[in-house]
Amino acid sequence: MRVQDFDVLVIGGGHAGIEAAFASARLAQKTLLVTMHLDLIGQMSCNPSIGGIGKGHLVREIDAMGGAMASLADSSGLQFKMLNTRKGAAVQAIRAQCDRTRYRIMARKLLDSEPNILLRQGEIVSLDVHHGRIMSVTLHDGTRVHARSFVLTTGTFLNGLLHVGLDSVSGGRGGERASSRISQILSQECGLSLGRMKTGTPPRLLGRTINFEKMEIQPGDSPIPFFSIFSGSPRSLFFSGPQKPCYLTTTTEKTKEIIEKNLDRSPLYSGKIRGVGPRYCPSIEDKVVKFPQRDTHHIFVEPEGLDVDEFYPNGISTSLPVDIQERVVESIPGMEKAVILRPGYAVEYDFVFPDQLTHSLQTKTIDNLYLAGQINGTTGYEEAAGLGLVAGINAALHARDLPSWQPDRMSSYLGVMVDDLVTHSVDEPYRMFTSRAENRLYIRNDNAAERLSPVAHLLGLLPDQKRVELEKRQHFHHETKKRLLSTRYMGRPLLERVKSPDESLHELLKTHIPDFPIDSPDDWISSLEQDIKYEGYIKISNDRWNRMEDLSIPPEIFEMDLPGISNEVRSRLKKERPKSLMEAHALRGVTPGAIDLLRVSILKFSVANHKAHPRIKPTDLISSDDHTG
Amino acid sequence: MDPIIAPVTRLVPQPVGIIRISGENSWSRSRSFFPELPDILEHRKVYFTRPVFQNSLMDECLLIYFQSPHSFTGEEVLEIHAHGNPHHIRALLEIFQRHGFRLAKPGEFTLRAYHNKKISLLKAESLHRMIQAPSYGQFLSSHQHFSNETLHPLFKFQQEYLDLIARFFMILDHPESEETMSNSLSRDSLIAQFKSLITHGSRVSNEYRKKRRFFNGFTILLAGFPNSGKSSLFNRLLKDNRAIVSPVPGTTRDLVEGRLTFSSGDVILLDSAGLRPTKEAIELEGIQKTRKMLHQADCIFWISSPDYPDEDSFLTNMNLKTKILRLWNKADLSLPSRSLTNFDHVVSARTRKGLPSLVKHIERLSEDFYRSSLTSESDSLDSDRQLQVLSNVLHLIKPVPGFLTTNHFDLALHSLEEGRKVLDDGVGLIPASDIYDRVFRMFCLGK
Repeated sequence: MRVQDFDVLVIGGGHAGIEAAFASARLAQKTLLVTMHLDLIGQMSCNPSIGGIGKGHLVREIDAMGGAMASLADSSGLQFKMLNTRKGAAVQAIRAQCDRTRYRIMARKLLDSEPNILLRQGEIVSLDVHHGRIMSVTLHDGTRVHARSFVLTTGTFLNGLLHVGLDSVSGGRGGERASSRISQILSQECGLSLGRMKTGTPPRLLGRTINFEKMEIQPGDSPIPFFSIFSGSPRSLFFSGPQKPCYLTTTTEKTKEIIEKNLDRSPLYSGKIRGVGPRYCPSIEDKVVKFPQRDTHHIFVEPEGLDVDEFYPNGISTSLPVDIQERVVESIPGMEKAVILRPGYAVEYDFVFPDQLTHSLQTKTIDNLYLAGQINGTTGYEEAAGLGLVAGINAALHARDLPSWQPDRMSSYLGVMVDDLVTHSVDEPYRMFTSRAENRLYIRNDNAAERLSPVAHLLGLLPDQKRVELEKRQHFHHETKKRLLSTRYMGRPLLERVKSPDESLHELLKTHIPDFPIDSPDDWISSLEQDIKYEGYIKISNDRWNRMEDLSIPPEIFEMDLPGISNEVRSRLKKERPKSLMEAHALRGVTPGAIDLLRVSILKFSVANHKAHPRIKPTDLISSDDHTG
Repeated sequence: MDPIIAPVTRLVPQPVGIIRISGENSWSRSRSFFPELPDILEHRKVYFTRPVFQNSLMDECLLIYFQSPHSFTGEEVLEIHAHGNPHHIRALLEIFQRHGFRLAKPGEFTLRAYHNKKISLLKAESLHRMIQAPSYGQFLSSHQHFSNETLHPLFKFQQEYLDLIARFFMILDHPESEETMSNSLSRDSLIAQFKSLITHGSRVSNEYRKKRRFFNGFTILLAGFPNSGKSSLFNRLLKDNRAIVSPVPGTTRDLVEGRLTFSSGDVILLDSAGLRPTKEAIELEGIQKTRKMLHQADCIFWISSPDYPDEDSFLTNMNLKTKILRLWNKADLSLPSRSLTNFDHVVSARTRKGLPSLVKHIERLSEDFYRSSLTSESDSLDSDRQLQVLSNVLHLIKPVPGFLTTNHFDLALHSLEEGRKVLDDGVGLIPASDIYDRVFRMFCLGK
């Protein structure tokens, strides 16, 4: 029997597992990622698309934290769109259609190229739990792996059950095996309480059998809005030619009739499925039953990839039997002759009620176990990736005996998501929406870098090149703001004019500051522009802030170099010398982003100076010779 | 919470006096006073028992037991029905206080009911209005809100408000759904829905402004120059009609107050300081109160007498909208020099001359007043606090249409959410801040 030693072990190679392993590796931890199938790392199990409202915000935040998802989507995108362009900057976000295969390959490539990460195909069959800590895990082939902390990202694989009609088979995804042992270990050995959820997918169709002329073309945006704010990510499509379109069609009254007549063969309505599904992503049979007054429903037909002639009809997710699925498809304009390549199915799986986690996604029962992704009751790649990032960071910090990092709901969707999950738990799969964020006007798509990258830098998550870019971006904002203040137009600073909703910063700079470096990246300009425009409206709500620990501020902090904190904030802090984070927050002009930075700085400072450690240290049962890292 | 105790009935001689106790372990803490009763009492059962204190019998009484959470406060509650001698009731209260039961503050039972989610803020205010209602019609109208919160205008407004926010959530978070792309969620339809919300809110506010005077009862101010005999008329009206006068005169308005009760509803008589030029501070303050009340009362009895025969030149300069009746008092001494028709009533407080017809007139005025209070069909708010909540909300959401026309849906939603916080606080769905404590401190709510 072989024993291997790692700092962090990530179980699962989906979107959560990728971010967890990647974050842990950037924090210099020797990381092993164990997955059931190496070729399916980064598989998009549902629709081939990344982003959307709320979700796109998360992708930007993951990127600002140095994560992987944004550049994976950018380098595999078939089509990009900025949503809500005429509804206000705070609610805009990007959505991309991606090449499913290429996304997977890019994810694999990224992990393969990271020296601190090793991949291993295998299934976990047991956890060795002692005194509230996991000591090691054993794989199906007998291999034992030791690690200091563990991140579990099981997706829909925990006791996964696939339903098509009244038949059901064990499985985590179409054609893949489920994981049956871990649920039992989690409830019996880790003392966690589990629930059951369900989600579903539509049948996939053969492109050459679809008549696209009967559908409405949905093109991408030009210029292309890419996710990543860093220049390491591509700035053009990975293929030549125009972006690939999606197509819009609708169900018909005939569709409705077919479904209504065959509800008794639906596992949902025959009572066979007991898991709770999301209300906002219902199956077509749900839509027909719950909205009987509607005769038609939209279907977006999305391309699966460049090299495959497969399409994803978004909007008819179903678990009806295959013969009914065929009839449903035939009833839709443009799909009269469409051939089903893979039938749709519903999947039921186990999840852990997330109120058993702390704000750092550590389980309250097992000190070195972190959970991320759908196991926490969420739905969606972006939510999973966001949780993976938070869990990976904290698993790495834990392995290094450093205090945890908790995203703050005042300053990020990551924080909103984590706080919602661990405070309220879930009763249906949790999906990110802008309506969940009370500080929506501040936590925007355009300023993710300003909000989060300085913290990422402080934690050690940003490689040099990204750090340099961040500094340039901050310098640009600072200098441009100064110029806008000193340049006067009709007796008033130019800055005042930027505040008007009708003025474009880009145009104002071109007209009034002739020597302005106009080749600066667009997103630098737009984030500054929105920052100025929204400043007057933002009143940060800290109603729920008291869930975050208030820390006292050691006076030494004011003399330290705090990267990422603006000069204005720095001088205000120096002058007022607040005694706690809460006091600092009450000062005018101190942003939630600056509070985040202060929080991390204080924790780092207290560790470096052996001051009272804010985290309660567990009884360390690992003897030192167990470790090499 | 700690057990509290209070008399439910007034401390005056009467056949039955009731004491209410609420709090954790109310029964086990008072168990020793009731040796005849079993250790465990049945919910909502009435027990006949003889309380014993320091080995001596303390009367006979009935005890009703309410199990938590099935009581008004949601806590364990005891109700003791004893003989209503005020000294006896006071003695019982003292005994309980000596054994760790605290005398309840005004409104504390209702506050506990609120904290234990037995009653909403709206319901608490309806209850207050119901108990204080000056007429049976007013009682019935507030009882409607009390028995069915969903009829409350603020509740209805809140529903429409939340609907609008839900539409924003839909539009912003699901930009490509059929609903969002359809006309029912277009910008124009949002603006139209917003306008209808504002109209709704303004209508509710105006309705309350019209109706609020009915909540306090029909108020008659006796005013006039000093020594015109206001106080003797006030006392005579109250004394001679003892049957319809409430036993304890209040001074809530800083003016001497008495209450006549007719079948149509209550009439509140206010005696006021005589109006004359003065530099004396206390008198000046009294006069200012009277001047204010001249505008607020529902009716003014302007009283003249031989010393100050000048009927109402004072009033004509004040531009009053209040209804005025002109009275000549001290008719036993002399009659007004000018025509009697200048006066609605010529009376003498001393000889009772003209008083029966004056009382009949008051009764008629009261009937008219309460009849008009019930004409309007729509429901009204219950309190100035609710009006304030509504005005604050309407103010906060004013910029919404402007934001929508410049395509700032995010800012529009933000304004609506700011308003929503105020509205939720006002309706009492979200337990927050000390606003509730303030409300319950201000009102003695159905103790």
